[in-house]
Amino acid sequence: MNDAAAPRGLILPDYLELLLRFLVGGTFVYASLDKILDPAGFAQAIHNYRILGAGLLHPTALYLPWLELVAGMAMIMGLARRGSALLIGLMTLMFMAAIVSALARNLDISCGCFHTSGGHAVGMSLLLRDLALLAGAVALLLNRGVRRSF
Amino acid sequence: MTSGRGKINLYAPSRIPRETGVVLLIALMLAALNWGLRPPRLPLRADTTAYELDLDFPLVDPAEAVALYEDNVRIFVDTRPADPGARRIPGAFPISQDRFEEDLREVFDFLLLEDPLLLFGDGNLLLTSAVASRLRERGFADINLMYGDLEAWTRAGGSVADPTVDEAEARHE
Repeated sequence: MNDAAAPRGLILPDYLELLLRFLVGGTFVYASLDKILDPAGFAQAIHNYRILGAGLLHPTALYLPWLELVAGMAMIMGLARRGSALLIGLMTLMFMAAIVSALARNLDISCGCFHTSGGHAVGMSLLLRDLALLAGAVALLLNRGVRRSF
Repeated sequence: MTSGRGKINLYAPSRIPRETGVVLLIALMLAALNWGLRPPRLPLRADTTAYELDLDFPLVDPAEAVALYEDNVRIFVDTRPADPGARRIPGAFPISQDRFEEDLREVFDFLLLEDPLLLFGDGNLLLTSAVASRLRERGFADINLMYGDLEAWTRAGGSVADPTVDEAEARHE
């Protein structure tokens, strides 16, 4: 392969790519489980952000956890790897926007990130955690390393 | 998409939308399947008053309430304003917000403080939860609320008694 045909972008070492896939994908899989089991509780958690109206609240509560699960599983298994990295990145951006919006309005709510009740209060530490997840997802999206899947 | 001599180009930009679409579609199918097969189903349009109230009382959907009624697990309390001609759930005790003290006096001999209650109303959870709060002040500890009205109850398969029909039948006999 000559220089002109060489793929452009990031090339992550294999072990780092695998680690990122497990960390980012695993986080999303873990985050989805409680929400899938308790959609009403997750709907309450979403409603606490005061962003979605009655028409979108329940469809979001029913669909988003499954998207987290499928995208997370796909990332771990190395299937549809860049598509799932893009979706996980977009979801993380959406969560960050919701957290910033809650902080801007001084809403004292729990994030609803991993558990439908209780959990972390919305704050800067959550934003930093989401930023780390976003960085991982973007690195996997841009990675041009060897594709390994299970 | 291929590059060179038939090799699959894993990094072609056109793969990303396709992969994204596949993940979105699989998630949609699983979510729909789960929603369709695993009761109780969350209604697709939310009744946001249920969330606004930030209720202390557990909410029960009509299908679940029908199952509780058939299993005779909870005592049903009708919190709608008194109306002798209105359809009602057979066996439900009437305790409404506007006649709370009188209604409670009439049923107090039949209810124990430890009885598990299920309150329902005309779909306005504000009124139902107000009655629930007053019952809790009186010592009733185990209270659930049903969201939805009697129509939702009927749609879920619950039985209702219609006093006007009963009265007509009695006259006919």
